[in-house]
Amino acid sequence: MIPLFDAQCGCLGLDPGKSVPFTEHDLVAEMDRFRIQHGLVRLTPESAYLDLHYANELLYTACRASAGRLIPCPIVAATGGAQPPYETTQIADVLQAGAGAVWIRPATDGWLLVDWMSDALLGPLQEHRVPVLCLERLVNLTDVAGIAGRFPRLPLIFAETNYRWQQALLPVMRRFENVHLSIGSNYCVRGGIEQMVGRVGPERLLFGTGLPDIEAASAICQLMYAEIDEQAKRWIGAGNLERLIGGILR
Amino acid sequence: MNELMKQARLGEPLSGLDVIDMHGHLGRINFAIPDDDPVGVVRTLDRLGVQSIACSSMYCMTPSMAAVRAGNDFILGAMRACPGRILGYISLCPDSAAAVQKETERGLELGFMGIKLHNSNGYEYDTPAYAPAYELAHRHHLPVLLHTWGDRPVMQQIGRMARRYPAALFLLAHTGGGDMMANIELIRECSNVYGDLTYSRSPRGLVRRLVDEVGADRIVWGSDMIFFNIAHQLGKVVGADLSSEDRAKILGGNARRILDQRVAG
Repeated sequence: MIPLFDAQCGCLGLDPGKSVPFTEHDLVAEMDRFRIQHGLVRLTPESAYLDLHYANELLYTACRASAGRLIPCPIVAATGGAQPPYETTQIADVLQAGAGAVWIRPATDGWLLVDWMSDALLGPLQEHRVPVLCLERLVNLTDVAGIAGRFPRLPLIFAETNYRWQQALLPVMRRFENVHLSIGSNYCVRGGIEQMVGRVGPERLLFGTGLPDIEAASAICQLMYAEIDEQAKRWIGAGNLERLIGGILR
Repeated sequence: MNELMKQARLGEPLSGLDVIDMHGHLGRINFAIPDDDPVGVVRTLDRLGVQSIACSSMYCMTPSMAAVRAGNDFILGAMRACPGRILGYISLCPDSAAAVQKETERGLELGFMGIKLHNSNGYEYDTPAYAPAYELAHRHHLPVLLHTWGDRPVMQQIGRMARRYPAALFLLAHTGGGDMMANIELIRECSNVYGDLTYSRSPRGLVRRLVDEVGADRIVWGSDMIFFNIAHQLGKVVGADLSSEDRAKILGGNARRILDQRVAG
């Protein structure tokens, strides 16, 4: 059975008016249902925890108790020098905590992707080769291409895209070798995976589900029934994300 | 993990089940779909263990009977190239009742199995010019697949038609999108209305909730292929928390019953 490492899952977050979260235990139980071995996990839903330090600590605690099943994807933010912890401290913290990637949310967390603000964050992340998770609704494809061009050794994971963007995704993936695409949520265009594997290579796609919001079985079926060879499925299923995480310079 | 999910997890075709996709499309649209070949569609059906897919043309959204008719001809070509595997819905544009009647009768004579209406063409589902199509669907017990998005005024239009033509079978596409209670209430109210599961997002727990709300007998599976990857859409049912009996009804049992109800004439 092809191993799976979910690049796009979450737990523990709260929405206003909902004080009972989908816990790390719920997430692991759902992963077990489908034989998903590992998850790169972030706080989902994301709206209620506004203190990033507190949110990240919640995530680290849950991941530490998961016997290695859950790898944290904490939030980092550019500070503009206005309030600590500053960028280098944040990055030291996430490396210390064993993060497998970091998640950026510029507009949500009050910062700009322009070079004169974000370089202080993205530059050190590139130095350490820390993968950066970019969800389409928070960092669009144009922004991803801009970051990828400025920081060609910074691994980027683009996720939560949809079935209407293949003609823009394909040239971005071909032009920027540091961009990786999660097949989760509703990246479900017919022939999309096969075209990406054929034109870009299987090394740049990542298995992702969208848990807990999305049925994991959709992404699983999409990968398992793809018209690509078994080795490509293994890379997409887990190997590519393992390679990215293994490449972090801690 | 249920037996079907085990097969899916291994990428094996689903076996021991009559799987029918009641919502497909063929043709071109204004964004890239890498694989749009009807023969490729059948190759994919084989890969997953799906018996048939019922397709309408992408032009079903176009407010032009000439374009819609060209789209129907395209579907006819696919039906003839892949008999029994690609089934056809007749698409319509309500230019006039006479034009709707003529195109519906033409489609039925050519072997189409149902009617697809899409309100992106700007016409409401109770537009009087559609009446001959509904009348034929009623007379022949045909499925009528309608694009919906949990919209209450649209449900009111469909409800009026479902009550007026009780032997026609109305399939509400994308049940679960938008205000799903609007769809659920109409399905409960009219015994000839069914929910169709096509939805790009596949929210976790949605299929189970719909079964709890309306019963597994009133839900049909569709993929929206070639827009969507059919395996992605299959996963939401294969992986859902359902009994094997309910899963079988949704994946094909209900569709087979609907198709078998058709009356020649």
